[in-house]
Amino acid sequence: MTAEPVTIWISSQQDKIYYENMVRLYQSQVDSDFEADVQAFGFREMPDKLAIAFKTQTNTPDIVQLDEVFFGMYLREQETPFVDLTERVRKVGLDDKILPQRLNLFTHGDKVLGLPQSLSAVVIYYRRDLFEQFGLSPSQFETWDDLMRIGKELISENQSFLAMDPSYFGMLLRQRGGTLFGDDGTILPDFELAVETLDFMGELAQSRVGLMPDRATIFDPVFFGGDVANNEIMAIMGADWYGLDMIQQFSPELEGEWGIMPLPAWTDENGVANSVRTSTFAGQGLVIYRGSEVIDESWKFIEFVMTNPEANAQRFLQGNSFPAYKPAFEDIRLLQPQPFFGYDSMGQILVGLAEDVPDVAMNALRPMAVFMIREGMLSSVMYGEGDARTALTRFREQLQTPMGPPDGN
Amino acid sequence: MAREVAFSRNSLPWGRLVLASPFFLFIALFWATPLFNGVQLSLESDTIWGASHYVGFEHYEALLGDGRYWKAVSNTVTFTVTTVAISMGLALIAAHALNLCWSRIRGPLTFAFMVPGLCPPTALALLFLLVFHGKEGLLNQWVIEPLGFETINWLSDPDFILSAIVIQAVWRWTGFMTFFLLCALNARPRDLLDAAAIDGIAPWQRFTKITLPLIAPTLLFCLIYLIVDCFAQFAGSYVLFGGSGGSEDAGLLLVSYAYQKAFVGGGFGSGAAVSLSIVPWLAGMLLLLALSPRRFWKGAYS
Repeated sequence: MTAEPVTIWISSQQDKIYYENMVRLYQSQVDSDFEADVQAFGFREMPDKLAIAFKTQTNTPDIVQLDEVFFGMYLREQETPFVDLTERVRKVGLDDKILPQRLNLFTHGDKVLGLPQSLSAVVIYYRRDLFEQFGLSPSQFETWDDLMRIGKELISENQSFLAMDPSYFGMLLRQRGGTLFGDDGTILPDFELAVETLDFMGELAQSRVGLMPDRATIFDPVFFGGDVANNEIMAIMGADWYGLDMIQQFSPELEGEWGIMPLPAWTDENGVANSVRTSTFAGQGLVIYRGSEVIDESWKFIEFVMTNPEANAQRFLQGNSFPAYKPAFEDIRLLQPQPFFGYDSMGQILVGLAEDVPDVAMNALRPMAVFMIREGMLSSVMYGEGDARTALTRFREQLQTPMGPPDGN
Repeated sequence: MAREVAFSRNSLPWGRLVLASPFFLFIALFWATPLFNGVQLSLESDTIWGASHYVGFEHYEALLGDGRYWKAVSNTVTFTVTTVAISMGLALIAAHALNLCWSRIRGPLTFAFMVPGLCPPTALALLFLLVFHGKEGLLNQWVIEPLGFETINWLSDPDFILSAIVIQAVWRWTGFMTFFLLCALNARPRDLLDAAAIDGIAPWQRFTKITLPLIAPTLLFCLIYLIVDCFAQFAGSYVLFGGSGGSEDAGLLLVSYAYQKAFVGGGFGSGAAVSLSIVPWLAGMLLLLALSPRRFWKGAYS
């Protein structure tokens, strides 16, 4: 019997409804005495509140739904505020059942500190109606060279192809096998690959094949009300959660007009495809606060949410994300064609790409790196006001000294 | 009667202290305690969880060599000077115009001017997302394009980001400052103005020699209010730029930088140091005001 309610912090109202449903499901299937207080905050508000709660050790939650980007912030010190779940994960075999690239995301050293909710595989969401209008088909976009060539043809008809976002830099770099941080913590270990990738993004934007949204971000309702609604772009690159949540939420009038296709591949100097057809970006996981007095109860609930077929299916069907839990890949409910995406099966496409989802090198500087990229550090290249090498050199320098003196641990 | 006054002034010091104690308690609780904690935090290590340790002035020393910090200082000072100059200039003109207009519509017009200042800054910034929208935004549609210029990406183009923050602040405060200045204009003694008019003094001279000195104390209040608000600017730019300074840090302000240090980098000590470092800059700006002729700010009758 639970001594007190488990406090769960969630970073969106939509997910709060999901977790309240999961609490009821857990009560009906596992523990009728289980009580939980599910509290929702804004996506940006929650990490701020969490940082304050941890710093002051006041009003702390038991379970936190934390984005991997913010998770990195707690890796500055050797001791993290999260419960080491390694043994528990191993005991129930979750280490074999969760896609390893995703489990690594919430692993620090040899400690598993959280469980990933989503696969976060990146695909291209394209506009079927506009593809039809311009006589295009997804099969024409096998490589990024194809995309650039077709995009330039479209520009002659005054149509941009791809919405741009600074966060694409990390996605494209990972798709090519690059990374923001090396295993030893080096920033941009393959610097030349990074320069080449940002140069490509600059070329996309400068040629207008890629269109920079007004706030320079695709994570903004204004983007959907403007560039998307006015048919100024034909495609957006995003993870599963982007399509399930943001696209469906902010462009409901375009139901049936969207389609899904894998990313084009990168090519070698001979024009031969040499990369995977997907990447990854962000995604949330569940962690347990070390100071919690209900660690066991919290773990049992997390284990249930991660492994229960209904829980996995509902996470997808209610517009949160596609699970990283491999047994769920066979659930027919996740593989159904979706009317919103023109009866494309997002599930089948994602399952096909799952094994290729690249690793993300977790680092304590990752939140600041993502923040700097997302909030415009590299936008100057896309606006043609700077070159990729200079921008990335400055990015690396500023990231090396973003903080004051370290803790010294 | 005189004895009663003397009695009440000299014999009840404790009574007066008791009556004033809620004020001092309030100051101690909500001003001195957070300030003390802030100073303490700025001298501790950037530990996001667990015990911190004393690091002295290392965070402050780190700021001296931090290019982004200096960028934030430069942006904040530019933003403050520009906003104050434009807001006060426009407010002076608007206050005069309102003072001259038909008295029946003066009230509603003054209230309409004040509305932006009464709005929560976050709500105002959300409206400005639509104003600054690249192609469909009101500013581009109604001003820039009709003038024959190419549309401006106000929130992404580093050349215009700071201007966008200034425009938003000017919009917010001009009306409010107009209200204060209108009150000051209405408080001018009519006899002085009438005498000047009868003596044939030119309007510009009447403004500089009579009106300006008379409204000087109100002007001083408005200037201090605006300077402090500009240095504390956060909510508006947070909504527009997500806590960053936009492309190239073109709109990075000091409070936004403190936020980044604390909540993105997980460095509460560094963040507190940035916050407290605002004090000398703000004091410097206010000192510049203090160095101007004191006689002017005291007004004509002092």
